[in-house]
Amino acid sequence: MWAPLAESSPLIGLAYNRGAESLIKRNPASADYLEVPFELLRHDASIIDLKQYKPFILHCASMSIAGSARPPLTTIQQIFEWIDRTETPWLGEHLSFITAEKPGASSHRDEYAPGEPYNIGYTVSPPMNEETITMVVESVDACQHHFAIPLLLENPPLYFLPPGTTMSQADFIRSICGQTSANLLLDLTHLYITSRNFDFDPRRELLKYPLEQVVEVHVSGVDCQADIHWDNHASPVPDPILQMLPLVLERGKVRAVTLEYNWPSAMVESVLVDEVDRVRRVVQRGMPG
Amino acid sequence: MSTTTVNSIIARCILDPRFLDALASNTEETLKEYALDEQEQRGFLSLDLRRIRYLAGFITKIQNHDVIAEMAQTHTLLRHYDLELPVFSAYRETHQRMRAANPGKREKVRAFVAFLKTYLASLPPDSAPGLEDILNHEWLMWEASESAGTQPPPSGAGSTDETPPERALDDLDELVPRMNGVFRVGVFEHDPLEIANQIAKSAFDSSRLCKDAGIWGYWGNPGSASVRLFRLDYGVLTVLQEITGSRTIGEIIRRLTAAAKSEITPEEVRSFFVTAFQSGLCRAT
Repeated sequence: MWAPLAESSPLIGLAYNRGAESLIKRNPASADYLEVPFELLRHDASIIDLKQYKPFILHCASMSIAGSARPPLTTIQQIFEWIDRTETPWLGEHLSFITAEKPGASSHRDEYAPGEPYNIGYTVSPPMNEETITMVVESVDACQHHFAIPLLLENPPLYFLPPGTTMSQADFIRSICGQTSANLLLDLTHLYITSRNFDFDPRRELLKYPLEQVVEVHVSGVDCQADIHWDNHASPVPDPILQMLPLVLERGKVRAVTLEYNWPSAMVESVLVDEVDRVRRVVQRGMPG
Repeated sequence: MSTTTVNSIIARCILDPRFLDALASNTEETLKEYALDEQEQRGFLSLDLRRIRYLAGFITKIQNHDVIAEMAQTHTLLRHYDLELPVFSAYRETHQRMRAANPGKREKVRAFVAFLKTYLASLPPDSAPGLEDILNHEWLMWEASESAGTQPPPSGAGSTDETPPERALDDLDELVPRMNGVFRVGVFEHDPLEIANQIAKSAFDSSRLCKDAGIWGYWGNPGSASVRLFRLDYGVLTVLQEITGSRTIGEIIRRLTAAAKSEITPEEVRSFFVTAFQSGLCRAT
């Protein structure tokens, strides 16, 4: 499925939810692939049956690649198994941490998981500095040791600047990509959210990322609450975000553009179809229509 | 530099609202137990902790998507009134306690609704018109449906517990009525169906809501696995409250008359029960 299309224009896919499943079953031509979280497959293995309709890309949020608390070996083994079963061409993972160590001297008595690392259950950006780069490089090397497919790192949105940060996200990612074999899963919505929260021009900043290493792009909606911009996987991608996509396409080797409309309150099927067409037009013509 | 320590503090801020409160009220003292360099220390001192608090609320919202799906119209109005992040930020502590027990969706819905009712009751009056009503409506719909789903379906032929035949209605006063399935009652400030209708049309406008205090009944019918709504007047409500499964209709009429609890006449009570038997709302033994 993937190899013959390596030279053609990027494929357009949907992040998995029930709506995407229904659409793929009833209208298989609407999207080219499904992106499915490892965590969901681990919870409900029957979702693999959808592979008869569309190829899968495997996405992951469990490796805490920018943290020092390593995932259990069983998790790595399960990811390995799902890489095999999904036949995913690469593994996307957040350039974030989801677990963090509890300092030995901490007075915090954790009733939730005593003796275990903090588990946020959601990916969060680490401080962006040389020490974190070293940590991430080691994590990526360890992952590549386990997995025979490419690893893509996804830029997280920034809602606050983690203390200890000494560089921009673009420089942070460029350095990591330069020191590892990892490529980039560029979430344009995350970049846009960060630009709004820190008041910079996203198009100018975008060009500082290693766009030549972008293999996959994510887009989704944006929400503004309490004067902060937030990720929103239940609303259409705003035009200013889609307008950045051609800049990436003309500089990178993008093979897939995923619409992340996977929250339960996401759009009705007709809107989902329109959204796929809208993104496809941008990919084919280079500008939002 | 210590990425490990910074990550640990951020994670604790997100997971432990009391730690975040302590950090906000006395940052330097709270950070003493952590080995941070000067730059990291400065970073935490200048950090807008409100952003971490809201991030914690944002994460809580995402981790409760299954609950939100059951209370979708309530969620729409939470967003309409800019209450989504404040509510889920405030819910963080309860949510963390819940995570420890790895609850199912039912327990999660019950806990969230109980929390949200208390939260909304603490808001200034009229600050979010229609929100408490739509929450109560969705809750009663959900609860009646869930409870009815756990009840056995109606008994089959030959049972003594079924809709009475026409001739039995001649001796109506001798019948013992009992509710079929689940019946819940809600008191509303505004018409919940009007609110639901506006939200469904993406046209909610609080200025178009009329105060229309009313009592609504939610009947979860185990036979059809559906919930039907009835607008109730006070007379019908007093009749429903008299149904125990052991009193005859005659007794119910005598009790209502003796207590002067209702302006409903004996004929109206009988008429109500005839309709209730025919619709399946009540069964007779």
